[in-house]
Amino acid sequence: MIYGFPGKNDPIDQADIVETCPVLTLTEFDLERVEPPQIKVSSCRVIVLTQTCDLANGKVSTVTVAVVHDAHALVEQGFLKLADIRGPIRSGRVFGWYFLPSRREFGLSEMIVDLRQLHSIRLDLLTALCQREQRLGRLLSPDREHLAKHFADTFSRIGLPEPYETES
Amino acid sequence: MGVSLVEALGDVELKTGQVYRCQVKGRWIELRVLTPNELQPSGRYDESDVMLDPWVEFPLLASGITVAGEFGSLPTPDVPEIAADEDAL
Repeated sequence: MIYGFPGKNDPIDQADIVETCPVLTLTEFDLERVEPPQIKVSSCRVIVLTQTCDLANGKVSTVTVAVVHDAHALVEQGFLKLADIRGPIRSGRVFGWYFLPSRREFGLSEMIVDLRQLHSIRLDLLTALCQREQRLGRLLSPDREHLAKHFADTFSRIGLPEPYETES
Repeated sequence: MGVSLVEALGDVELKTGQVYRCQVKGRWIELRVLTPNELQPSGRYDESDVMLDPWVEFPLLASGITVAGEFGSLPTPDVPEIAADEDAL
């Protein structure tokens, strides 16, 4: 079983998938600070990335989340091909993108976590969303740790300007 | 009990450079024995091992409402719990 389905009053944990989470994007900013900044508030699906230990010990008041896209919507919009999803993305070979399989019986379509779109969300807000049954599910071990490793690899990788040459 | 391909071929007499074809359980199999000058399997570039960088930016969230913000200070950070250092005691 890849997904678990915690109760609405269960605490937030790493790899929780939460629907209708408000995320903010700064759309206009006056460097002179004469005009107020314009902020877009969007409602989207997110997955929690903050470590379980930090959440369990009550050490955090904000939670790091990544935006979760519907995989087929990205195909329909022309951002990806179906073969990209079936091939390198599904097998975890693209830094920054993490595939989540569907469980149609639980309303979960195939999804792609965009680890390059991160947001900090207040823990009490996420908790309130869960209490309103906006938590779709939770990725379970070992898939949860697999996601966390991919997240870490995405930001710890070091790219070389050029690949090393070989003699033949 | 199943055996691996390596185990199954271990008892077969194969000649370098030869191509063998046979039918196994209704399927045609072709086996080519490489010469020393040909690429060795261990040296083959396996594309499935290569990590890729994303080739496109996913769309920013299209829908939503835009509101005017206000300038202010950041909320106080979550202070990490720092274990007492024995040397400092």
